[in-house]
Order: sequence, then C-alpha cells, then structure tokens
Amino acid sequence: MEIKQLVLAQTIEEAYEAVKERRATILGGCTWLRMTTKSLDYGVDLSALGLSYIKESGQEIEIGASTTLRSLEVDGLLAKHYGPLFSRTLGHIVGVQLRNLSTLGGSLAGRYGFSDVSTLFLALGAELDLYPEGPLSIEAYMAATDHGPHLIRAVRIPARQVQASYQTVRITHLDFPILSVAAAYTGGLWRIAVGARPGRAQLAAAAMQILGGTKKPEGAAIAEAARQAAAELSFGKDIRADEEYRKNVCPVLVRRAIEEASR
Amino acid sequence: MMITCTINNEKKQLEIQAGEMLAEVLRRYGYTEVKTGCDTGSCGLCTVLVDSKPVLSCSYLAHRAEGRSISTVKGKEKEAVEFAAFLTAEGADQCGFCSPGFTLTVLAMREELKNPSDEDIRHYLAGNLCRCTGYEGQMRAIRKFLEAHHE
Repeated sequence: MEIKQLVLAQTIEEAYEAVKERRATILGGCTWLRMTTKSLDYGVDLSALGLSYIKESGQEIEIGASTTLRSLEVDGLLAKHYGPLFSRTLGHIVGVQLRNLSTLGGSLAGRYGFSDVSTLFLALGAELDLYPEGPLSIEAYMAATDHGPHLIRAVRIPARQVQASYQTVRITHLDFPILSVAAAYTGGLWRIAVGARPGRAQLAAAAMQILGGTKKPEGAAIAEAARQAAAELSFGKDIRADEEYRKNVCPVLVRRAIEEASR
Repeated sequence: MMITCTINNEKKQLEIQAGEMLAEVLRRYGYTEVKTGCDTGSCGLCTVLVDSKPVLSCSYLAHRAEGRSISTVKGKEKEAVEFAAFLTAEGADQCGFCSPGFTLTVLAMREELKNPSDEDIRHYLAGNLCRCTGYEGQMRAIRKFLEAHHE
C-alpha cells in the first residue's frame, strides 16, 4: 500500500483535522484496508493516541478504539463480566497474528457486513464515543449511511453480568460468517442482532419486543421471536450463500442464541 | 522516512516508504527468512514477533515498528533449531516454506499459554496454514516440544 502523505497523529484534534480538512483516510489496524486499497493520498495513523486500553469506569467498561481484537479476546475484565463470550466470538477471526493487529475501532468504523465484531457489540447495546460529536448508540451509528468526518475514540459496554450468546454458520472455522446472530439480556431487556445478511448488522426490533423483559423466556416465545427476526429483516445473496438460505438459517441461530443466553 | 528499531537483538535504522508493510522492508534488508505467501493476511507465513507478540508482517505498517523489538526466526535460532528436531522426528516438515512463521507462532504460544490443551494449540495456530503435512505430525511435535520444556 502506498501512502503519499502520512501523519502519525499525536492528538485526536490533529487526527480530526486531517480527516476533516484533508479527507485523510484513518489508519486503524489496516488489515482490511491494505487488502482493498493500493494507494492513499493522505493517511492519518491513530496508533500513537493512547487509545489501546480496557478499563472499568463506574457502571461501564470503556474500550479504547485502538484496542486489538486479541486484547478483547483474552482480557480478564471482559471475561469477568461476559464469561467466554468475547473469546468465542472473536476467536473465529483468521488467526492470533491478525487479531493482534485488527482494532475494535477499525472493525466498527468500516461497518462491514461480514463483521463478527459489530454484530456482537450491537447486541450488547454499546455506546460509541465519537470525536467531536460525543456519545452515540451503536444502532444509530450502524444505520447511518454517511456520518461525516469523525473518529471513534472509545466504545462503552455495561460493566455487569450480561447473559449473551453469539452464533454463526460458516463454511470453515476461520471464514467470514454466512450469517451471524448475537442475543443478549441486558438492562432488563433482550437485544437480538443479526449480521452478515450479508449487509451490516441490524437489530430485530419486533423480535426483541416479543421477548420483552422476561429473563428466561418460554420455548414458544423464543420460537416466535426467532420466526419474527427472520421475517422482519432483509437478506441477500453473495458468494457464500443466497437470500433463501440465510432466511432459513436465521431463526435457527436466533433460537440457539436466546436459549444459550437464557440458560 | 527513517525508523529505528531492534531486529533480532541488533539496533537497526531502516529507510522505509509511507504505507510500506514490515514484511517488504525486512526482506529488502536481507531478512529473507520472513516468507510471504497469500498477501491477504490469511496464511501466517510472514509471522514475526513484535515486542514478543506474533503479528502478520504483511499487514503491519512498517513505520509502527519505530522503537519496537522485532524477532524473525533467526532471532530465535536456538529455540527454532530445537523445535525443528521435534518436527523432523514426527515427519511434520516437508517443503518447509511455512516453518519460519509457524515456528515463531509456536514459540509465542509457549510464552503466552500455560499447559495448553490440544484444542488451545489448534486454536492458537489456526492462522498458520501448511499445505504439506495435514497438521497431525505438527501437533505431535508441538506436544512433545512443550512436554520436554515442562520437564
């Protein structure tokens, strides 16, 4: 990859200035960018901003945008609150060597349809700390088509015991998901996110309403929510599967995710 | 631009281009034990250790190596030769092209995981592809290598 002008930003203001005024491409982990981009006129590197951290702050866990996926996978604080959820979800992504490079911020900012990361964080009800706007819900961020110049500074998730499960179907263990589903009971409500449809992850809002605030829903309610999720979301075709396949797999993964999360 | 880093315990100054990946730079400076394969971040051939962590040097921006310590397999020669004897004994090495990256990942795993199960080992090494061996011989070699060190 060629970068004609590179800035190693020392402050977030400097990074934002480069993005806003010079339309600089943000360099996060770069594992996807370098495969899809041969040449950049202007690149701004965030790696010197000190945004690689995971810390508990009051009722939240704050994760810096430059934190690697491997750090999320093995972090003790996340494991304390979420059990094996992060290691199981992120462990499918290529290999340890790539996960030591890919960052949380880069994974979310790309709004990639195939992203395991965005599906998981959407179900967890994450809040993004954007610069300069400030806090924004992940569903608003994922739904936006053009957010204008901005940087993701950090991501916040609840610091409490959250019942959650992540389910996918893939051709091989390390391939992109054909469909991904995350379900979480958090803050007294269920959240169900479906990704790799193959579009970017979305919440199944009507399915979530069926489950309401019941921590351990009955089998009939789970089945109804699973059917509803497949009915309310749109699916498409790509090299891995067609629309019909995804629509049929969706209720199965939603059911499994809710059942596992409510155990 | 110039960067200063440590490669295999020697301090080096390297002239690099913005956007250049570490694998290209290392090979240009003669570290040809760093192999490149898929160039898509999938095969693990180009693995090096940066501050003891295994990373894909084909996807690591070279300017980020400033001030860091990089190990290729030659920087871990003693351990690599020892591990190679286990691979050979188990018939787990054929063309050898994946061996530098594979060996470095095994050495990083040994530092990071305590008493890993077979599942842990497979999970940790999933990013290192080998088209020759079918992995079973490698698993035997790794297990015996770890057991030898445990004792």
